[in-house]
Amino acid sequence: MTCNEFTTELSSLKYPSDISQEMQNHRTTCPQCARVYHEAVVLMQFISEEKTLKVSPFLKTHIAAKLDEPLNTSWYARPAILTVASIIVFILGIVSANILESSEKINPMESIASDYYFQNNYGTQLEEIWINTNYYEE
Amino acid sequence: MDLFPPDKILVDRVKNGDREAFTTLMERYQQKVFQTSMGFLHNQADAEDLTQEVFIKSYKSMKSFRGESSFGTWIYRITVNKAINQLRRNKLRAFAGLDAMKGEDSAADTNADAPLLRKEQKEQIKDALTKLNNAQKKVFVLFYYQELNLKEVAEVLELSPKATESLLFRARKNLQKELD
Repeated sequence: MTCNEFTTELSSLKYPSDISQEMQNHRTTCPQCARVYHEAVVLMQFISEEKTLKVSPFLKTHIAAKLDEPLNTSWYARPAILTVASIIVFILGIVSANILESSEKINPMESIASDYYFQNNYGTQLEEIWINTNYYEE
Repeated sequence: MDLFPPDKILVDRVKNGDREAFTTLMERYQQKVFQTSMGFLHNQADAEDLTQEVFIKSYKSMKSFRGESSFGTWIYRITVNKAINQLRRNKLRAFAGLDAMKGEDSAADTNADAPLLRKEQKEQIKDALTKLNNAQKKVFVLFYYQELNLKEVAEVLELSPKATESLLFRARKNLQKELD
C-alpha cells in the first residue's frame, strides 16, 4: 500500500478506527501516515467533545419569553427611516453645495459696484447700474 | 391523549396556535439544533444564541411549512442556513477587529485547565474546519455532529446522495491536508 492510497482510503472512512488490516500494517511501518492517522483520531475526539456539551436548560424559557414579546415595529421601520434620512441628507447636501457655489461666483465688477453702494455713495448707483448692464450685455 | 405525538401532528397543532405543541417540538429538537450550531460556531454561547434564533424563526415561519419534508429536515435546513449567515457576520466582525477579545474567551470557556498543546490543537482543528468551503462544511457538520446518514444529509441540503458523498470525501481530504 502506498501513502497516497492510505490517505485516500482514510478520507473515505467514516471513522479512522474503521481502517483495514492492510492500512493498519502500513501505518505501523510509515511514520508519516501514522501522523495523518493520529490527526484524524484527534479530529474525531474534538468532535465528540463538542457533541457532549448540553444545551442550557433555560433555553426553552428564553425562547418562550421571546415568542411572547410583542413585535417591535421600530426594528422593521428602522431601515425605512434610515433610507429616507439618507436621501434627505443627500438632497440637502446638493442644495447647500449649489447655494455655496453660486454665492462664491461673485462677479468682480458686481463687488466693486456693491462696495460703492455700501459706502452710502448714492451717486454711484447709476454708475453701478451702468457697469452691471454693460457687463451683462457683453 | 397521545404522550408522544408525531412531529406532523404537533406541527398542525402549532399552526392552529398551540404553543404547548411547539414546546414539545423544541424539547425534541433543541439538543440536535444546538449540536449542529456547535459544529459551525465552536462556541457554546454563540451556539445557544443560534439555537434560539432557529426556533423563533421556525415558529414564525410555521405557516409556510408545507410538510413536503419532515419537520426535522426543515429545522436542520434553517439551522444550516442561519449558521452560514452567522459565520459570514463573524468574519466581518473579525475583519473589523470586533471579535479579537471574543476569540480569546471562546478558547478559554470550554476547558480552562487544558494544557497549552491541547488548546493549540483545538484551535488548529477549528481553523481547519473554518477553512472548508460552505458546501463541504454543511455536509461535514450534518454527518458528524448531527449523525445523519448520507441520504438524510442530501435531503436537508437538497443535493444528490452522490454529490453529498463527494463533498464529504473532499471535506475529509481537505481537513487531512490542513491538519498535517
